[in-house]
Amino acid sequence: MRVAASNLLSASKTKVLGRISATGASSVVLLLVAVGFPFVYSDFFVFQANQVLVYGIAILGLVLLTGLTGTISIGHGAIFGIGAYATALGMHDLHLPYPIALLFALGVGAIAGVLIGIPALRLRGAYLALVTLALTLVFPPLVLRFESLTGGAAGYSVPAIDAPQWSDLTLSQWLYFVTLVIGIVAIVVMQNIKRSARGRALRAIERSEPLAVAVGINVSRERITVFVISSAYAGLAGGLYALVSGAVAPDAFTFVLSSSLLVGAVVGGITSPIGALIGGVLVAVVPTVTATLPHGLPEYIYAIAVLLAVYLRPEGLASVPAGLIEFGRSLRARQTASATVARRQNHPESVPVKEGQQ
Amino acid sequence: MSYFFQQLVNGLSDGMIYAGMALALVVVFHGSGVLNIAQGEMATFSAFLAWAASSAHLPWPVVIIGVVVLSFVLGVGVERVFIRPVERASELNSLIVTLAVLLLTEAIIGSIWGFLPRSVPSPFGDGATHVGGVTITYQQIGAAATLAALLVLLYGFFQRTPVGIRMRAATDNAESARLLGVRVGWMLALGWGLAAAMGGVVGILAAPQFGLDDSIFLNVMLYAFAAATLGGLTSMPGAVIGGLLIGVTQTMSSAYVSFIGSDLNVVVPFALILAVLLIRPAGLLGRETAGRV
Repeated sequence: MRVAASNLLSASKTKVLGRISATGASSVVLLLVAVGFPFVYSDFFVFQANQVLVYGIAILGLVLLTGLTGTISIGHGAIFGIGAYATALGMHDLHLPYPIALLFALGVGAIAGVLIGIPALRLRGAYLALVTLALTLVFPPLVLRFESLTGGAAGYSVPAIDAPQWSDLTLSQWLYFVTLVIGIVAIVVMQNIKRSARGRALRAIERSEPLAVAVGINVSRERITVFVISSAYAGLAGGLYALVSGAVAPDAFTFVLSSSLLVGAVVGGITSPIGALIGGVLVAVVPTVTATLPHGLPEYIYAIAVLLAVYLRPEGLASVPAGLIEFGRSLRARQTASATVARRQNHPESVPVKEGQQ
Repeated sequence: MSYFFQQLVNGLSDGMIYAGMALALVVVFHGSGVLNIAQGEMATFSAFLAWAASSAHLPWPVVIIGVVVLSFVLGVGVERVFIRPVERASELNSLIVTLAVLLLTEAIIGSIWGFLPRSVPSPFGDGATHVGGVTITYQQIGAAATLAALLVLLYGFFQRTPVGIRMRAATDNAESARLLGVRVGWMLALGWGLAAAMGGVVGILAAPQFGLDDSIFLNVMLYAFAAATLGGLTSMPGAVIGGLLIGVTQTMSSAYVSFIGSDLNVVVPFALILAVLLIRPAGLLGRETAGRV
């Protein structure tokens, strides 16, 4: 009996170890692919990948906000735009070096988060979503109005930067690595927040606010903090966008951007960093691919794809691997069951009960 | 002074349109808890139908009745086909579904009628009347009268008719309503149909005023969202008051505050709703929902 128990124990131990090393191995592989990518593919694809990463970081902000607290924001496109303008203006007018300009974008995004977050404290659900929608609608006309600062409809071109000499990389490759590192840091920070006391507090708030208050969570403080962090992500992503695309103009930060960020987050998977990456692909690459199709067709494809994704995988596409594993497991279980049945039918003599009867 | 009254009339007539659309949003939101972002695009579709029928020289009453009935059927269909699968899903997922419906409707409109803007004749003719220096077009009078009649009808429908009362029961307490034999799912679909029919009427009335192209009602609908939020997303009288308030503030502020002009008047309604929501988080007439533990 004891032997059996220890066997069981060691079996479960190897299983756990196996699972850990599997995640570890897949992250290592993913990282190697990510690092190797810009050396294998041409600058055009690297540029596309940069955009995927940039939108992915913005969606990470939504994953934090919406995935943890259930708060819907249709205003992240505007905060993204604010970050982009902050970087462009910081580099153009204040002659900041771009790392400082990116920090500036992060800070401005956070400040925007405070300004929206404070009134947002009083609002819930649909009302809050509509107020953030208002932000999205108000931002482009304001940019147009303050033309002397923002460059009006034509926008701004961001001063050119170069990859450092020692790196021996093209600009796209260099920006790719900058964005990749920022993205990884953003994911690590997010996962830490998720696992911290704050993350649990936020999930408690999502479950039931009165309950969270009752167990002593400072609901207002937690809600505004997560709003500010999420906005800082969006602002930083906007800053990276300005660097990657080299220009900013008001028509890039409209309702279309806010809504496609949200669609990307939901279709990718609102609770996981992988989902944010998938969302980034959706926002950045799909329009480029479908632009080659005849007029009208992309809209149909996009709308139907979004509908199918939401119906079939309400948890987002990031849940597909887990779903496949689950499916495989149930398939295997069924196979073992049918195999047992088959064995019994083919070799009736091997079944112990029959032996006993003979 | 006549300038002021002229602005007031223009503001009220825009406000009526927003109010009608806001009412459609409220019927849907109060019924199924879904913010229907596609409402404006569905109304655009109805307006295009009406435009196509009237260019085929059908008489106006036939056009209007036909479009309203068709819009109603389409609204019920959209609920049954697209919304029902996410009935129990999160707020966010149903929002995304309506967003997809918006894109789909826009694509359909684009592939049937193209993307060029069109000018639409008014069902009430092109004339105008003058009252003490204020010009009021027949279109404005007709639209206002139709919408007012519609409001009264809708109010009567929800207060007096058995179906209307069942619909209210289904939204107020779905579980009890179900126990009493109300088919809650169909009541929600009916709400969508009603909202689409409302939207259809608003579309027909607004097209001569705002012009018609594949996305013209996006703006109208965003103001309608503002109006519904202002009045409280669950209150029908609130939606009407909100719509009128937004129409009037918008015209007045661009007429009298030169800084705002015509380009920044999108900012005004949203500044207004932010101010109102900070004092009353559920809007002017909305009901505050208590949190459940």
